[in-house]
Amino acid sequence: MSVAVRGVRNALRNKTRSVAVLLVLAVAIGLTLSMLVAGEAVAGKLAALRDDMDTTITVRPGFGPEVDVEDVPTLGEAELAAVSDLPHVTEASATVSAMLETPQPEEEPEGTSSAVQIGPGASFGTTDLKSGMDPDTVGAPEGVAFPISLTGVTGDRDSEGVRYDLVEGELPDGAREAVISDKIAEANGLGLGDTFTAFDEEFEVVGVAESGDDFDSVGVVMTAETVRELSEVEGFHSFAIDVDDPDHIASVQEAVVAELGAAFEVHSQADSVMQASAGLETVEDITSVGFWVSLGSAAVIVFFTLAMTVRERRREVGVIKAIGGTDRGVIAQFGVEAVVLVSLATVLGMGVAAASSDVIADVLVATNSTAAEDTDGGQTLSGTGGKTIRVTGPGQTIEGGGDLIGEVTAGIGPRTIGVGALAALGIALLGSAVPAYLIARVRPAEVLRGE
Amino acid sequence: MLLVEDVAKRFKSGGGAVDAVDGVSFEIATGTFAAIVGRSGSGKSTLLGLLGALDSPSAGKITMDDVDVTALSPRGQVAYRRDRIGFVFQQYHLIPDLTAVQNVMLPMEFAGRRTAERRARAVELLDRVGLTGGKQTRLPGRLSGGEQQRVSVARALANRPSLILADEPTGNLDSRNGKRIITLLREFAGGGTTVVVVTHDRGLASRADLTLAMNDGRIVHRKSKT
Repeated sequence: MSVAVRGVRNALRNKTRSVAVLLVLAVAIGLTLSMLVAGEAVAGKLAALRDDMDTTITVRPGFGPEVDVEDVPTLGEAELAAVSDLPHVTEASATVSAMLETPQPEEEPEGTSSAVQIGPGASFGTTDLKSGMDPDTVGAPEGVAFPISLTGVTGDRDSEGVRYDLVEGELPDGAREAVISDKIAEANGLGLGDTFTAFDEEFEVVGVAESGDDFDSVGVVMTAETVRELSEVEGFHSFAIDVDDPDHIASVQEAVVAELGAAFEVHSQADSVMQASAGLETVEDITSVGFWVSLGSAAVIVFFTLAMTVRERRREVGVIKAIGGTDRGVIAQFGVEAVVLVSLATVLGMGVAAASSDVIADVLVATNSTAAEDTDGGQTLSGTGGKTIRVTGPGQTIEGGGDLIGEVTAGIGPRTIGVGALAALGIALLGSAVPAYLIARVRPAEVLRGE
Repeated sequence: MLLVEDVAKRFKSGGGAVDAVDGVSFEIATGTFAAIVGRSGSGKSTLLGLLGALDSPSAGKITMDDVDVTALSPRGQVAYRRDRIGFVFQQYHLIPDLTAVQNVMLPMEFAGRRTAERRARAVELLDRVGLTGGKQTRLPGRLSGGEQQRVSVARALANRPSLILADEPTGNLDSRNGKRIITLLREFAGGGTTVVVVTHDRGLASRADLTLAMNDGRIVHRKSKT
């Protein structure tokens, strides 16, 4: 009977204790693997978030509670040129917004031809277009006529910095060209080359864009120059600034604030992603610490189990040495014993990990995402370098960290199994190191003690 | 020939030291059945451990068939115990999860013998000590004390040792089984193996070729039949 076979048999010699040790060890190893799997899932999500991160910064005049309407600063050509020249800015575009009143089904709206000022920079005009919005979407009664948003652009992005997704055609270039949303196109039976009126002027449809959401975030799109002319607005309502790399977003935000002054709202979707990422990074740290703590716990369990076994079999070790067994052989036998226990526990632990890693990842991510939202739900200033660059009002909901994170899926793959096997070996080696030392110290003369 | 020259073993005890074996000298010819007798604490078992290289003496020299046991390295001591010594213990000290035959095979495994050879020799030895048939494949827990001690004797003989050291081999046995073990050991001595037995058993000592009586770590009396 070889050392290996004796080690295997010894591992299962005391069945009750072996089962108890296996169960405890399986939980520890299961937690170790769960932490590994959850950590990997979170790391993967972090990388995916980073890869998908929108590197666009938007700039708008600040509308804080203490800012008078007359004091709202203007974004003009000079400001657009200034931010375009900033380092790491690849492109900067501007938008100007207005609203188009749609025909009322029962009662004709008053003031049809002149633009109505309703706030700093926003103007109303009329149009013969019907809105593409479904009243059911907002629970409005049947027949309600929703206004249509009109956006003037210098580039290919809307006021939120989102690139238009054209279903057909192209963005407007001429003074009497327009892009309409696919909802409006469908509601009005319009296609490329058809015309409609706005501000009593006739426009040709040169493109149809994806509506974006139920509320139709596209509406009608014209050149910025045209909308400024029609709505009699000077300057722009927003900038969209493209940054060359996610790592440069914060520095460009700071540079924009430094260039334009603190009265502007400088925002990046990366802010929300970074907040969500911060939560995930915490989760990653927790899983990393959890991995090592669980691994250490498993090693400690193996250590105490073997130390107890060595202590119990001290005389047996002495006998083996007395009849010609070497230290190396006896240590190998106990090493095999440790490897058998840990291997069986690892198989069980894989089951524990398969059952718990998803739950652990979900709970950790949910807890930390909630924390990220809570800290930003009220009147919270967010900025970089100590400067205030964004104000979120009370009751407003920031882009939720959880929404940005989406789902974090943890699963056991070949890599986890490989790492699990290595971890098991590590645990066995760590846990049996001291017992091996104790074995080496057992003198064969022990066998004569107490005879 | 086993030659013991002025051997001493001193143990530290509290602030002082105890001379468990104190300047012991004797020689035992090959094939002798020798008994070491004495009261508890007289140093018998300590001396046995020194003869079997389980421990190293504080002073003196032990020579076994021209091998200076006291000069052996730890690795040399392991080889000496494995190849030249057979131990029989009062508590048998069989490995509990190995069968009788597997217990006897164990020293041969340490000596690097092939499995078939080990098994054949183990069965032969167990037959020789009178443990036959199904009892050979029983675990020690399912054997009587006398049967376990016979397995222990068979294990001691596994590697054809030149010296068998037995520590109170009949101490846990009834008189019938005790006599049987004594007869076995006596037979082996007659076959050319030196047997040294530490015992309180007067019956066993009376059958020895050489009796050494110890007290306070010293040989206080020796009696030879030859």
